[in-house]
Amino acid sequence: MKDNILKLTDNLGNTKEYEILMTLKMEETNKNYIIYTDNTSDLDGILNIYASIYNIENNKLEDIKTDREWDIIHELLERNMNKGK
Amino acid sequence: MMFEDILYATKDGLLIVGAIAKKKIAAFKLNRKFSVENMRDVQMPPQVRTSCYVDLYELSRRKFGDAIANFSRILERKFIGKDLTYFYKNIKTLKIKDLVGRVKTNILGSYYVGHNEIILYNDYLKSIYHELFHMASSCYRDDVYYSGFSQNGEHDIGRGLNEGYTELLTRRYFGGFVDFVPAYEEEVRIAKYIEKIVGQFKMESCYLRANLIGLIRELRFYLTETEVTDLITDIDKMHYLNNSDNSQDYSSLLHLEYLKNIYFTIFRAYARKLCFEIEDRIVMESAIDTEIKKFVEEDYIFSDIDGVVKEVISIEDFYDIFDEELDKNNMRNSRYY
Repeated sequence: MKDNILKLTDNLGNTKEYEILMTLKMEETNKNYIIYTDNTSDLDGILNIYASIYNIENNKLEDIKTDREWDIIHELLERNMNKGK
Repeated sequence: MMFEDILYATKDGLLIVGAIAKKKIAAFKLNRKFSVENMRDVQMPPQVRTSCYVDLYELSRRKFGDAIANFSRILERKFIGKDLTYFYKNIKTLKIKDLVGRVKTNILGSYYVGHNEIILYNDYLKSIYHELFHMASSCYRDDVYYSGFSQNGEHDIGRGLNEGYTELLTRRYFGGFVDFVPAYEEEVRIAKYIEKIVGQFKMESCYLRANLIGLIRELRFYLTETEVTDLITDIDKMHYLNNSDNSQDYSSLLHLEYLKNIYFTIFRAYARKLCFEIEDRIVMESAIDTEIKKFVEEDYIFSDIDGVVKEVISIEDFYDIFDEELDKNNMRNSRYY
């Protein structure tokens, strides 16, 4: 398995690969988060990015529920993604 | 490496640790509606699973490990075991949060007794040993936070003296390791003079055992209960005045009044101590002048910030106080306790 590829299989058995862009642990929530992309873009060339909570204990992803968590992730993406790495 | 470590503090100081891919992205859209609730299988790369276990504070321990090890070595060499009870207890679970360069503040660092946590804001080398001393002298019991000579509970007392003495010890034992930023200069000076009365060994022991009562007991040999209480609270008031946001003027009348009260009380305590030592023949009368000069240490006390101490007290004041105490004939049988 590649170090940066996440594979998700839905209930219908469809598997899709996503490239992991960032992993985070937030002090406030004490949760881990995965930020990833399927490398698709809209018509304007804007990359689609997704984020989920990663539960290490049972190796499952959960939906992010609060605006605060989303806002923080967005802030970090803004800070980092245009640095030309 | 595909990922590099990141450590961030958001605008409100929230700490985030993680890893970021080396991928250039010009523009993005974060899809908040995308749901993973119906995913039946997740295959996560092993590297990601491992990195998620990184302890937020482990990163700090790796960075500050040398300073902590150095601090531990010095303390174990310089102090007896009984004085290090709180140090041994707290060092095991100490947390250090590294916010250096991430939060705009003039504060170098802070120690939080309740969390046993040091937070470093600026240039950690200048403040970590000071904060480690706070850690080594702190405990929480009976709803009161004790840290050195400071007590915070229903009533707060001793903070000014505590900061001064913490800084004094930091310079004494770690002055050779780092250049210090001037901090708490007045509190350091006052703490040094109190230590001259009580004695270094006793005062250091009281400090590390968070034993303000013990220090008060030592001072009560030479001062009344009211004089001791007033001394400690005047130091607190001066400290709060020095550290309030809009207080840059050391020559304010209130500040001068506190300083005057503090130094007069300290001089009075030493004058009484000297009287007892003369009575006990520990000090010969011929040596009085030498002892007074040694205690007052003119070059030190009057080389303060803006020459403020000179405005409130002089060595002549000390001689007047001493003569007054000698005349009162306050000898051993009528000590202050």
